[in-house]
Amino acid sequence: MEFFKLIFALLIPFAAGYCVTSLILIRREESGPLERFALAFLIGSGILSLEMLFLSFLRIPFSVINITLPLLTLLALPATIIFRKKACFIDTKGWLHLIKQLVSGPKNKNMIIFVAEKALVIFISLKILYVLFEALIKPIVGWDAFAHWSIKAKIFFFEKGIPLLPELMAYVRSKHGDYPLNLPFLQTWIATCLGSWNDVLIKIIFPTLFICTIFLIYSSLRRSKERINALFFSFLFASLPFAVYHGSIAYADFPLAVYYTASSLFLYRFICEKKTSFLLISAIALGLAGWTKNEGLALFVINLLVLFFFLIFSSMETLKERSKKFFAYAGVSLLFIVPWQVFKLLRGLPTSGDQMPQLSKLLEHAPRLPVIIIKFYEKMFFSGNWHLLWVLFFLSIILYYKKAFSAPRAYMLLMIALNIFVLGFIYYSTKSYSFLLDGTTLNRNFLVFAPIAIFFIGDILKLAEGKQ
Amino acid sequence: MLLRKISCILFLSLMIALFSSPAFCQIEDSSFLHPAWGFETTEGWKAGSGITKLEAKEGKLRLKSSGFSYITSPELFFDTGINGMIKIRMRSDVPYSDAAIFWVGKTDKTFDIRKNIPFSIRKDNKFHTYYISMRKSPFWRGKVIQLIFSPSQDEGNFEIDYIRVERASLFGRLISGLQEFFSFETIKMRTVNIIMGQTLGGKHINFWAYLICFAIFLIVSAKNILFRWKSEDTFSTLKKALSTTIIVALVLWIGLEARILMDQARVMSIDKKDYAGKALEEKRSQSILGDFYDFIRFFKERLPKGSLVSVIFPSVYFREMGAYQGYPIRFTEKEGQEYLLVYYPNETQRKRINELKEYAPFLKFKDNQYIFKLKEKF
Repeated sequence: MEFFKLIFALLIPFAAGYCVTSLILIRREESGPLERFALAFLIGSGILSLEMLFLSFLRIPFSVINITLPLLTLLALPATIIFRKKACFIDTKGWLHLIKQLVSGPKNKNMIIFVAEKALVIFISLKILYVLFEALIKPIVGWDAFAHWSIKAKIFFFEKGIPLLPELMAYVRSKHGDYPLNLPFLQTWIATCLGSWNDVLIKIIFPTLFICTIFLIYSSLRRSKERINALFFSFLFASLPFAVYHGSIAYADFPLAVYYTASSLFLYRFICEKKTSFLLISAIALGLAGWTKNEGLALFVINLLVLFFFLIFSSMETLKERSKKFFAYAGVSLLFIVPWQVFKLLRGLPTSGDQMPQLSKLLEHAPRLPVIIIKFYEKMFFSGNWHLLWVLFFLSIILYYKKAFSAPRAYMLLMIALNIFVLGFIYYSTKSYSFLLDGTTLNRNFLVFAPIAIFFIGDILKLAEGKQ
Repeated sequence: MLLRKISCILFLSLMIALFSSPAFCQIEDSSFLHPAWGFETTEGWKAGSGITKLEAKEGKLRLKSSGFSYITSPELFFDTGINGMIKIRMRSDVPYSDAAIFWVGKTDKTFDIRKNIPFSIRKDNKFHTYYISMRKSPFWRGKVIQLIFSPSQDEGNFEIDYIRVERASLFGRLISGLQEFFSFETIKMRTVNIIMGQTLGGKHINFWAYLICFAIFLIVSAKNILFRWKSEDTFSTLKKALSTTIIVALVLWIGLEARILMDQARVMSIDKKDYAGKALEEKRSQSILGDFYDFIRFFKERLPKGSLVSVIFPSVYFREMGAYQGYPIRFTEKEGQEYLLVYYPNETQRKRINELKEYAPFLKFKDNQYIFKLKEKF
């Protein structure tokens, strides 16, 4: 019975996300089935948790009915539009094609490539099974997971919402009250559907997100590359020890990485194809990143900057059109970020003010610079977290420097470079420097943009003849 | 011609093996130069902290450890220059624990945490020989006057067949490197912040991967520049070399992944043993240190729902885990709440409890696990 409840808990955000995704990516050729699957869960889960925040605003207690009914009512309109427009809702053709590809024989293909493809599919499946096993065999054991994230989820579950009593609210506040509530709400939702606090099953979110990331990387590469290339780089992502580990431990860094990956990949797609629908998806995912962790606000600024540079150098449209796109992007993202900030203000929850850059001490902090460079170097190149990702990344840039530094790839490179720069700047100018020294955050920060680094390598390297 | 070449290579290999073998190098094979212990008696080894039993029986040194533990050697005086390897044959029933060898030098007589070589021991309770290459540590120099062997950081039983301090032979170093590379990165070593990764010869495995990549790049560049310089420009030659390097890096990545898969399989097997088929409560109990979960269940059952309680716990881990698992009971560090939970208080906390005259014992779960209550609320 629990299994069905769990499926239901996943199905509701998935359905909600599918409606929204289909409404935005209305044509079949805009997105493959795997990508739609991934986006559906990402967007749906974000919408669901945001709805739970609104329910908290309105002081409506959490229950399956109270959460599901407004969501389904809200989504009735987009669903109707989708059906009227005969938009791509359930991409049966796409799925059938995918299954056919999966089980088909070598046909005219090179036998080596055929075998390699099957082997890669098996390896990726094994990794997914490992993450599923590790997530669903044991309860939450990681420090941040229980001390900062899941405890709130548990409180919301037992209190049926954000507690109204001041003493309970003070208790929530003491548990890093400034952290956004996307992840705790999602865990509360799963527990609400299960009807009990099951700290094993609530972790289902993380392997699902792991699968979504693989699908996103695969689909994004598949558009311009042969299947073997897309599969190989998806496998490289699935093999990253740190990503695999974080796919099961209930920390918020991995969900943040997944939302940011979706946002960056669709921003890149917008830069390549200039379709507004992709920009919209990117904006939503970016907003959800800001709704997942405070670090998401820095990511919001990064992607906004990249879009700004693209629009500045793009000669495609009028200045007015470009400004419209820029502000629409920022506006849509903020739609997902602002409610939590307003809620914090209204309920007197703490802000992250102490982590703001200390600009007056910029010169004073100069001795930090070599330490930051050394720490970055050590963590990127000499840990078991990333295999050989970062050396491959730099080698690829050197080898294909023309490709890497010319549009549209230059924007993806800019995104990664800005991530590294902003990270360095934060450690340089804020109190977070202590976290760099004790080694508690840097690798988790790298996790956020490691998937797009893999995509970038996959995009510029050519392993087998592709359809560039 | 070919036969001559092969004979030459074979002869050279034989000579290298011979010269590097311990038998050849031990010109004066005395226990003074190369200490060794077979443990017919304890032979001067003494129990240190955490060792609850130490005895020599049937040529084996038997130890029982209650957590982080170590034994100390008798007084020694050997040269690290001719002793680069320590060989230990032992067995253990501790699941995936890390052992370590520490030493005290003649010139730096203080015990220094940096002077240690950790190594993984297998949990199958069968005898295995561990080759520990001491040259991995930059502090292995000069004369050593004492060895300290820490078999575990966990509770368990150990049997040591022998400990030998030897010259580092080629074979020994090879085995030591393989053991190091295939050693299991214990769950404790991995944190949410870092997965250390394998080492080889004391250096991170990525170092060797980069070295291979660099060597390939140099070889391919040199080959192309030397043999094709007329037909190709240097730029495209370097580009080709870089392409080959990237392919090599990708192949090495797959190799590293194969190694990680072994660890992940072991993690799965441990987790399966620890958690599979258990009820949720049992899983929680398994995942929390010591018997703390039993105490959580105890106070959750006894205290009124939603109580705000003061706590005296030995570390922040217990406080936060207790707050998470114990909800709807809420914790505060401030004293003065109706109930006070006490779990294994340390010395300072014990004194503090004695000073708290306003509280009286209310319920006892086990020794060192109590619920106190304000006297006025009794």
